[in-house]
Amino acid sequence: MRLSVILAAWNEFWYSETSPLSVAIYRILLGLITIIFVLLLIPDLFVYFGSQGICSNQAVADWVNGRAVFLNVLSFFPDNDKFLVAFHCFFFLAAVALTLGYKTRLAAAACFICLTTLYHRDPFIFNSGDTYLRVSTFWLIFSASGDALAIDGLKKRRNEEANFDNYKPVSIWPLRLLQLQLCTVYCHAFFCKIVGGPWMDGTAVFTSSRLEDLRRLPIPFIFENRFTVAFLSWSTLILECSLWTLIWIKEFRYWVIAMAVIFHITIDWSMNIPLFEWLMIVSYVLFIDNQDLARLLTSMRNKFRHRA
Amino acid sequence: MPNHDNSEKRSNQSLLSELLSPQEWARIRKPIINTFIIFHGVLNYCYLFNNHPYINNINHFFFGYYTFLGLEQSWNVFAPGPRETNSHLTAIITYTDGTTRLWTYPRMERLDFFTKIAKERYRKFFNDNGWGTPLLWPEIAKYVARISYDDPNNPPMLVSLIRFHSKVLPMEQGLGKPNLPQSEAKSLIVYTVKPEDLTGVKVK
Repeated sequence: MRLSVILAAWNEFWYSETSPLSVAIYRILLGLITIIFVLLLIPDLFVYFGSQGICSNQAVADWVNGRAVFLNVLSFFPDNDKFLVAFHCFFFLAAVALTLGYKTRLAAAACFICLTTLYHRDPFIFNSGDTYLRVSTFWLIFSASGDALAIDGLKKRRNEEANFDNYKPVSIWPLRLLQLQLCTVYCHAFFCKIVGGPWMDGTAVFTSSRLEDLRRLPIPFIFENRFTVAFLSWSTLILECSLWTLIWIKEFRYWVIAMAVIFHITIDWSMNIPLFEWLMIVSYVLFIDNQDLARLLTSMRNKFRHRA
Repeated sequence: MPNHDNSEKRSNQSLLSELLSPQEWARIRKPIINTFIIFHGVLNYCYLFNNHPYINNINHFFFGYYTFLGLEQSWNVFAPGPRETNSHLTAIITYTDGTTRLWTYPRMERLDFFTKIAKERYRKFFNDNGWGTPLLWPEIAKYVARISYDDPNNPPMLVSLIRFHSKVLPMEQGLGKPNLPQSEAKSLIVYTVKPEDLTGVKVK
């Protein structure tokens, strides 16, 4: 293989152009999840982050032990609950702006700073879904997600016919970063699981189903039968492997995504891990062809107009 | 090779034109983006597959940057295998007059559908992180003392944290059977409440 071929493939992968539609839909869905994230924190905001909460600033500082400096806006006014409330209100407004696509890059940056601040204020309450939300928001800052389905985008399209398939093309590299972030999740999860133990011997799903604090709604039979348990354990490995390999191949892509959606909805039904499964599901929109998305949105708009 | 993104050039032009001419920006744009992509790609790989001293050195060198931005990530949920214990936290609060009160940390399995969604971070805090991080035990004890402080003449004096737990039975033994009761107890800490721990607490 010639170097020029590799460079051409690199350029094609990172520097071609695409419609901003898929990343715009992703922005809206991610924004809605961020709003839910903010709202879910409200009832126990002072318990998690307050001056008399369950984890003090000093405890986090002791845990870090001077190893690093953290991006933490709350550290400007530590133990000030009024500032915490103002910060949380700002976070909510930033999430709304991100969803609506108003000053989109700024809103994404604000959401990222807020998510990182809360993570650094009390890192012990955040799960993988929160990590994914934080990191994805960081990549979203660089994308042109405000060029479609956004208040920002409206200004640019004022004089054009409003169709979902005629957005001005944008650089594809931020979309690639978001796609690769999703693949990274499954790739790492896959390699961490295949080192041996319960996933390989087919018992992992049984053990997972027995964790009482993670149970949500019951699913009869399948967690109490050794064949279905083994099938589900191995299927998880196959699906996780597919989600960073086969998902790149157009002929397999939608099949893999359909299986993954069923997989995550099943987990969401049976396990109480709020937002994580939905974050994964909404991320699949990054892999959907822009023309298919445009067709879907046009069809939805026509149905809506017909009813109206 | 397709041309660079014209629309993005236009949208960035107002800011960039203050700093660079369009020709200058066009010349350096791709090397900057390439560096950004490769730098973060390599760092992500090093953080996720940290299995060699050289990789560890790279992580150590860029630790400040990555942790400052909170970009560190790990996706080893339920890997290499799911956790094999069920547990919950109970506290015994001893007041100055010698009376005691029992307090139970929110138990997800006993909450209704919507409440357990809102309270999931309690589970994350203690069941995944808190019980294995002794540094957090005095913090939990102080919190329990504060929420149990309802009489200025009889403040909490001691808070004992006890973790109750049970092993999940292996599949061969556990199929079709209920989980074992969480009856094994471990005392985490007996914390003596200091007056400053209760400073600023509004008595109910």
